[in-house]
Amino acid sequence: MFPIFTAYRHHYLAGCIAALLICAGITLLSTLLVNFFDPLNIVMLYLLGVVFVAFYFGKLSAGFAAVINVISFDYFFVIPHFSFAVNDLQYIFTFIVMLLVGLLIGFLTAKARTEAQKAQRGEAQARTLFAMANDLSAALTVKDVLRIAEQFIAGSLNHVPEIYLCDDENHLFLVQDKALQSDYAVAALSFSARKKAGCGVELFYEKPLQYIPLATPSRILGILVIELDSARLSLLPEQEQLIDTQALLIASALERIALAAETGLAKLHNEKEKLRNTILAALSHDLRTPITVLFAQSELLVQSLAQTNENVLAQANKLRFQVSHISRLVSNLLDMARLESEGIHLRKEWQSMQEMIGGALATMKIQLEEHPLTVSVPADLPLVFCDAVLIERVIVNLLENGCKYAGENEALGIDVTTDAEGIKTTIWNNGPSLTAGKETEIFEKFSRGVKESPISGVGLGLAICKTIIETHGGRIWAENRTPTGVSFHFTLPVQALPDLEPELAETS
Amino acid sequence: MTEYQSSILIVEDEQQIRRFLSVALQTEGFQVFDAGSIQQGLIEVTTRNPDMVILDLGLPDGDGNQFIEEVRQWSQLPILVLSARGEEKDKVRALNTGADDYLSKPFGIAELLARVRASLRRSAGNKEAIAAEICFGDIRVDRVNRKIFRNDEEIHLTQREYRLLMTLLAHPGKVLTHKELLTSVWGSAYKEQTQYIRIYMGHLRQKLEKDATRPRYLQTETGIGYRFIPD
Repeated sequence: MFPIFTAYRHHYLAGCIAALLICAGITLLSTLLVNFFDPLNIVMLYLLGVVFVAFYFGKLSAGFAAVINVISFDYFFVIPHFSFAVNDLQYIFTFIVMLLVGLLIGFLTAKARTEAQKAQRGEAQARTLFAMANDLSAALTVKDVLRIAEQFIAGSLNHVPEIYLCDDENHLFLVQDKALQSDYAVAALSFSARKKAGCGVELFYEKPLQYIPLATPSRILGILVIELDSARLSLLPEQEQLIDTQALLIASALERIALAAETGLAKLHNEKEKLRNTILAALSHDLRTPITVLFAQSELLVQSLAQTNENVLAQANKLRFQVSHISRLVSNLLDMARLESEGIHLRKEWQSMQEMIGGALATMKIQLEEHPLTVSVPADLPLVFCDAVLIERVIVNLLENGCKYAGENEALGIDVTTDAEGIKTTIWNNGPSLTAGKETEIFEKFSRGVKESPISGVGLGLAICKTIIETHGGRIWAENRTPTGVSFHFTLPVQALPDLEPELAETS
Repeated sequence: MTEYQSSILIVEDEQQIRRFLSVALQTEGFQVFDAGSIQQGLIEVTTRNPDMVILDLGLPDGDGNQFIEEVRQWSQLPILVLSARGEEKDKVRALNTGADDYLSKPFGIAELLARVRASLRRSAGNKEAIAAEICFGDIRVDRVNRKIFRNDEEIHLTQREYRLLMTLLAHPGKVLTHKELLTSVWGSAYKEQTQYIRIYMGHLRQKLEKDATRPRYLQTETGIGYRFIPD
């Protein structure tokens, strides 16, 4: 690698010494030539000296050279010799012009030179960056990226940087200690703020280290720690630009690798999800087909038995009832499996609570015939943004639960109210109360109100309700009623409804 | 039997279901054909020219929607779709493609027969104009003067409410998806804006039903749409 940057301070000092030496040399030469030369040509020689200094050492040294040359010309070549005094006042004018021309030529030469150098450095930078980008694009692992990063930054800064990366939980860690003794706390600060920290940014850090975030526009991937020149304590503008670009290149390479890994993971996840769905669909199909057949056959049986009024009709009826019960249990199991599989997709739409309750009541019509039912749903309820099929499931499950556990002819009811939490639906029954402490347990999977109870069920109904309500951002709980009975409450959050276009004309 | 026997084509890959459907429908005096795949079903439709099709959505050689699309290109014969419960999305798609009605598995025979008869009746009645006066419960709709009465007492409906009601009444017994209703009452720009339909159905029920939570005539098909059930 080529050292692009040199210590400018030393350069300036060297320039001044060179200016002095050149001035002395010209003076010596001129004393030899003074007999043959006009003083005017000596001025020319001095100006040539300024150009020379400016070309090699920059404008500050050139300015210095211009000044000492005027002084030396005055002292050695203007009458009286070896004195600063001037006999011919015309020379004052010569001095001024000489100084001005010296400064001007010096500055212009120096400027032209700086520009040339800048262009050279720019080209070198571009070449470095190109080489780095080229190497990074071929990197396949984080390790490769780090190796390339260290190599190129070492090339432009003359020391190996330290790099922090973050793990999956966004914790920073130092990749390899490079004896810079960087401060973890500062790195973490820089990481969380996504801003540079340390020397050159803020003043009060003891070590001459700068912490540069390795960030792309979309994410931050780590921290680069570089050491600054201990005398200067900051980077030159071009240097800073180069390091920033290099940091961005490193970050992009790291991001590319991270994204590739994530894509792989997402693909795996998708495959898993697909497999699970295929199994569920197959299972659902294979279970539902025989149940559908069984149910229909039992119905046909009941129908034909009813026509001939056989005495086995009661058994046939029981058979049909049990089949429909199995069908619901299987549905519950399949639903639970579907809800359990990650990322259940809610088909949320604006729904009316009244409709969903109505739908559930229609589904439960036969079972509810045995119970006195009170329904109180205000007409002016706000719409809820939810998945109607699932919420109706919840209401059906709660009603079914009520029918099952309350006992025959016990009253059931549905109340809907609105409060700060949203819309609260209560489904209550006047059956036996829950044992104290059971109120939350019953929402666990495979938990039932009464162990070994004669009432059939596997205890999935309430667990399904809980999953559904919680994915909607609501809350579900049970409490005992006085004197007896249980209330199941669930809430659904209310969101602001998008504005509806009002109707203008009305028909009469 | 001397009267005309309606013929029904069953497209279903499960032999057991096909068999009991045949038995149940034949007992009721229908003539039944069956097919186990979409390809075979399409052939049967053209050769047998049935009055109605019962179609399972999950067939081995493709999506039932393909079948509906194909048939709808040249025929308006009623199609009743069978699908598992919880697959509302598929049902809505089938209905929007052109199916007339749906049944969720497992279903009862009584339900099946009721749906079949309703579909056949509708397709026969399609040729007649909709009556100028429609009555259900104690509601009387005077379509000529655009007025609605409950026991001779006039009920005021807004224009949208009236149009929504008319759309439903025009298809007695048929399920209309949210999209269909929104498109015909509000226009196709509104077909995803289900909030309109919820609010207006709520209003209609408040005005026309005795118990808005348990409607008798304007029924909800959760996740799918609405259905007007005449007396």
